[in-house]
Amino acid sequence: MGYSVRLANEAISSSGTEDPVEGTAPARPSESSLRDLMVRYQQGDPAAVETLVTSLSPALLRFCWGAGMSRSDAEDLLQDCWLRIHRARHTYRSSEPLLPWIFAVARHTRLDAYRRRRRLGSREVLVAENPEPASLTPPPEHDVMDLVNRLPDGQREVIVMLKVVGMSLEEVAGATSSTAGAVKQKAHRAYAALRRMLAAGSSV
Amino acid sequence: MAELHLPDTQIDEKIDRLLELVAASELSPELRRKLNGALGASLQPVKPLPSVRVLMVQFGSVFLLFAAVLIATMGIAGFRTLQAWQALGIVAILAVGVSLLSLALAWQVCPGSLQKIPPVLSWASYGIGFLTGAALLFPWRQSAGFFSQGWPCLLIGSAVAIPGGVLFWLLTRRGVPLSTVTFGGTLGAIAGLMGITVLQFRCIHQDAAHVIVWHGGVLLASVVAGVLIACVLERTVRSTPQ
Repeated sequence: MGYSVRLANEAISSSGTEDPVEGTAPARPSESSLRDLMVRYQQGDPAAVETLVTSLSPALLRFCWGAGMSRSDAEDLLQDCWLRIHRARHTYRSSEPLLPWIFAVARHTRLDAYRRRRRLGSREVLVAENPEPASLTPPPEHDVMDLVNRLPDGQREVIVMLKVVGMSLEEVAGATSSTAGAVKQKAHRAYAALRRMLAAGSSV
Repeated sequence: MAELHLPDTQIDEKIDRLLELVAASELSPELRRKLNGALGASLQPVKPLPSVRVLMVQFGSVFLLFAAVLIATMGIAGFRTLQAWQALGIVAILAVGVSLLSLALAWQVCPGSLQKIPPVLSWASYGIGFLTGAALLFPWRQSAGFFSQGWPCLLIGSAVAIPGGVLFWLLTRRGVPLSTVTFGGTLGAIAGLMGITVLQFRCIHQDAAHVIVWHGGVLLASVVAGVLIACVLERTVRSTPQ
C-alpha cells in the first residue's frame, strides 16, 4: 500500500486553509516553567537539572537522531549536547526564551559531530565493501520521520523544531541564527519536498 | 487514489497531523542516570552573561576608549586637514560601524539570539557603506605616491588591528560563540574598524582612492585574517580525537 494511501486513512480529514508553517504545535512544558528550571540550574540546583533532562531530552534526542544513525549514535550525541549545554549554561539569560538557546547549542553539537565524522571518514582507507546502508535505517513506511530525514539538513532541522518540538518561527530563527522569514522559506520548501515524496511513494 | 489530487493545503495538514503524532524518543533510565550524574558532578552556581544590549554597550565603550588612547598617541594630523562636513561624515560612518559590529559580536557570543542581521551581511554592508561614504566624502586626486603613501597606512592599520582583535577576543572569552568562523570574521571586522579609525585621524592623505584602497584594505585584511585563523583553529580542534 502506498504511503499517501495510509496517510489518507490515518489523518483526520479537514479542509482548513491555515499556513502549514504556522500550524498547531504539540504540547510541551510551559516556557515560564522551563525558564524557571534553567535559572535554578544556573544557581546549582540538582533537582532542576534532573527535571530539565527529563523534560527536554526526548525532543533533543529526536532532533539529534538523523538519517543513517543508530539509537546509540543519537544517544552519544545527546550526551555531547548536554555537556555543551552544561558548559555554556552561564550564557542563558532568564529574560530570553529557553528553547532557542538549548536548540542553538544542540544544533552546533550536531553540526560539529557531522563534520568530525566526515573528516575522520575521509581519512579512512577503504579495505572492504561498505555494509548495506539499508540495514541502518528501518524501511520508509515505518515512520514519517524517515521522510523528514531524507530532507536536506537545514530543512530537516527546521521541520523537527517547528512541528515535532513545537517551537515558534522566531524561536527556530533564534536557534538557527537566521531570520523568521528564512525559517518560513525553508519550511515551505520542506513541505513541498514532503509532498513530492508522498506522491512518489503512492505511485510505487 | 483520490488523495493524489488533494489540494496542497490538505496534504500539508495531513503531514502536520503525522508529525504531531511522532512519538517522543524516551530516554532509557540508565542514560538518564548517566546524564544526571555527569551534569550533577560539576554543578557550581554560575553568573549569567548580561543582556545583548548591555554587551553591545560594553563592547562599544571599550572600542571608544582603546581608539581614544591610540589616537592620542598617534596624533590627529589627518583629521585637521578635513572640512567640518567631511569630519562629521567620517565620524558618523565610524560610529555606525562600531554600533553594528558591537551588536553583531554581542549576538554571536550569546547562543539562541535572534540575529536580525546575519553576521556576513553586517561585515559586507559595513564594508560597502564605508567605501561608498569615502567615495562621496573625499576628493578624487591623482597622486604620484599612491603605492608609497599607501603601504605604510595598510601596515599601521593592520598593526593597530592586531591588538584590537586580541582585546575583543579577551572581552568575549566568557561568551560561547557557536560558529567559530563567523565569530572570527566579526572579530576581524571590529579589529579592522579599529585600524581604520586610527588611520582616519592620523593619515594626511585624505583622498578617496587612498582611503578606499589602503584604509578599506585594513578592514578586508582583518576580516580575511579573522576567518582564516578561525578556520585553522576549528580544523585543529576537530581533527583532535575526543
